[in-house]
Amino acid sequence: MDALISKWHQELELFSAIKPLIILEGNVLDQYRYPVAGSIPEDELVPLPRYLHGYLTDNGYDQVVFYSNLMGFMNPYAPGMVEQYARLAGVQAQEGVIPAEFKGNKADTAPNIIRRAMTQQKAATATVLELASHYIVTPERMDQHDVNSFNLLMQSALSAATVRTPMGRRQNLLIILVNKLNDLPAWFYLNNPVCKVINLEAPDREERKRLISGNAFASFFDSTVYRTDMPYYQQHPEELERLREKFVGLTEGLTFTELDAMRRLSKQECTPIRELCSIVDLYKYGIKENPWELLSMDSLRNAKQDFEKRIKGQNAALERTLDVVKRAVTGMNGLSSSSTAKPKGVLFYAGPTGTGKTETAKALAEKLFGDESACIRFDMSEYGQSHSDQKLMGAPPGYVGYEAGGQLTNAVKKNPFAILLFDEIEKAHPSILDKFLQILEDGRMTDGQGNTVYFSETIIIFTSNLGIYVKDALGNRQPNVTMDMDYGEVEKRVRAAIEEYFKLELGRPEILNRIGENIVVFDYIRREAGEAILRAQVDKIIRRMEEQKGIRIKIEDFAYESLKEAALFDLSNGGRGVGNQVEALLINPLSRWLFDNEVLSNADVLIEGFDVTAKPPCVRCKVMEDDHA
Amino acid sequence: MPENLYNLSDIVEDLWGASAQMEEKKPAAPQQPVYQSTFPPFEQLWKTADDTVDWTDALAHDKPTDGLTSQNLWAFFHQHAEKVLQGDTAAYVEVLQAANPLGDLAAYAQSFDVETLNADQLQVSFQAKAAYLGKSEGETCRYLCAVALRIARDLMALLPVREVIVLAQQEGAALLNVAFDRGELQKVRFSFIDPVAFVTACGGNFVK
Repeated sequence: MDALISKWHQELELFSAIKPLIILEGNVLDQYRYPVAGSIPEDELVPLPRYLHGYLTDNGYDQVVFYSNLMGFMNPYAPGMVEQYARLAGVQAQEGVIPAEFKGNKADTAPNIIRRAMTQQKAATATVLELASHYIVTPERMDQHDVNSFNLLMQSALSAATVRTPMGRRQNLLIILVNKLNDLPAWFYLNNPVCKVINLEAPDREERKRLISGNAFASFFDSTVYRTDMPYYQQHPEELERLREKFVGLTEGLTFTELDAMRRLSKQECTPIRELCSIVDLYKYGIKENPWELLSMDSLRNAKQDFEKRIKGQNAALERTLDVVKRAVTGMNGLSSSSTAKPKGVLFYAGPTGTGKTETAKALAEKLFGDESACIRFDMSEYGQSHSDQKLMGAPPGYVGYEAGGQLTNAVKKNPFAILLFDEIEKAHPSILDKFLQILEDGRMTDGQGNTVYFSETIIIFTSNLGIYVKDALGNRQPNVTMDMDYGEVEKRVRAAIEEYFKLELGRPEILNRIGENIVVFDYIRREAGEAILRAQVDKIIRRMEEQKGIRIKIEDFAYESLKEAALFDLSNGGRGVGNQVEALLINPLSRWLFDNEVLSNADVLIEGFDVTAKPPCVRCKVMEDDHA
Repeated sequence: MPENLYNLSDIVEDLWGASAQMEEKKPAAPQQPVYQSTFPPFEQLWKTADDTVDWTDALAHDKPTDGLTSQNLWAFFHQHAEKVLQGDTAAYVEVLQAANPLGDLAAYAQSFDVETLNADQLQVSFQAKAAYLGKSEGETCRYLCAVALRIARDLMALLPVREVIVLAQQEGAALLNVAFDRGELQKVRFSFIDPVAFVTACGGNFVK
């Protein structure tokens, strides 16, 4: 295989020749794949300090020494180098260590020693400051000793000497490893002409692929599993390639250390080659059974009928919703994208109020995960402030509520297999939409505590009333769609209004792009659907009364017709409006009548009529004597 | 062939040495079996096993990745990894000869004969030691099962086989035959099992 050299390594190679001060920030605690055979074998994963030792010695540096404020100067990989470094800097090493504090007035503080080593021309030296984020309490509250120490380091870099070596000229180097750049005082690196900051990022796609290619692939499996499974994949290399691609997609954002841990986990669990990707779930979520894989095709085949029992009159919307689910189940989700770590599906439910948007999300949760509570609802009207993102993702360190974490991140951490329902998304602050961009694109989010939460097993549903009303030229709210329009017209107008909102009003077309073709417009509750909703609600009330009180209720046909006419008179509030009418015309008057007539249990009641014009509405009932007997 | 490649006998001796010293401090129990005073006890035998050889790591790396295996031993594994992972039985034989995985069981049984039936199966026969037999039928069974289980564990640790068939004999007469499946062995917590019950569950056949 050709050498694959990471971007940061290339930058290090480039800038170490011209800048004596290199700051490596970011993923400094990770392991890295050594790209070319040298003092470290090619492709071996090693901790960053060992990597740097290998790289620097392979490139002609005579002395490579690591400093930490706890241990002093040392080199666990070549202890002899410390002795020579000590001689160059005019200090004494004790058993392979040069003890030195980072700050203070003494002549032998670490910055003083480094300055002497950097300015000498006898041997090419590289000094690596490890864990440099922890040398001072905070850059904002440095005392004079802290300032002096960093000042000395800066002077060392400014006056670094160049040394002639058998491999050519080398500049004495100071490399500082920090978790975050702002762990160092800004004046130290900003506008510093001899300083180069290099970011250490998680391994990219090519590097992850390299990790599971060639013989390295074998090391992901138990020996017996590999011996047994591999002959099949040698016959079907295209399947192996697909498996690798999927794994590479699923592991986006993971560090080398995590990937290596995953490798060992796979081996320990004797994961078959065909189930390689399941190890990602096991590693991320700690569970072996993925509810997505437990879904039976039969239950999905009948899903539409099951949904129609709960959601009336929304054929098109249900069809679109199930399309997304089927895509997720068949694994075709994300095929058009480079990342397979994206959520399983994204749906944007739009439409008039009371048309079953939230109910569909709940029904979907029950269908997919066997429990309605797997639908986690966030009322986005509660997130209308610019700082509301902290409620969702958690406050940063030092802020109130930091310990509590974020509502969204906590929920997904607790239950990674869920439907996330963001109700009335248009009411959220636009800054929150930025967070959603990351979730939709990368499928992950890091909370305030630094924990990464994965959304790759979730379905994300946004609901919105956008497009139902629009503002006219005077800024007045006008209906954009009405009940007398057919579904096609409603869908067209609502879609257009949503696009206009994101593109023009919000100025964020990229959000619309992430939602893609997944805008699902719910139709108005039409007369036929209204009748079905009314029937379902009345039947439910009758059933409950019998189950709980032993009261068997019958409604005369003409009475039911009058109830229907009244309840369905105005369907502009959708199914919720029908429910409100049932409450007002049936439940309240009936319970009043039962109470007034002391019919509290075990009776047969016939509803003869409804007086819907009375204030309040009332029912005409009678108890059927001996009818049941 | 690299010398002394895979012999844990020193460690095992250390272990027994320590337990023997502890035994000396206890007052002699009148009903203890005679063999405990003259032969090493087998009560821990199935609870330990040789380290598992990571053939896939050995294939991928030419230097030890575990920080424990010696360079020489790793080099041997690296050299044989490809063939072993292809299920080459000739390579199995080479590895068995070099590693001598049952050498540390000499105190408990003798005349080990390991046969590679195919890439998935090994068959081992051994002669039981008379000193461990005959106190009672239960103790004999326990001894045979302990040794059989340990043999299976050691061989599965060394080679990527799915099944190890163990035949225990004495003077040509069969005492026990049992086939151990890797999948079953992987599920077991050896510290908590009774070897006789486990061998029975594996379909072990005790010949009376």
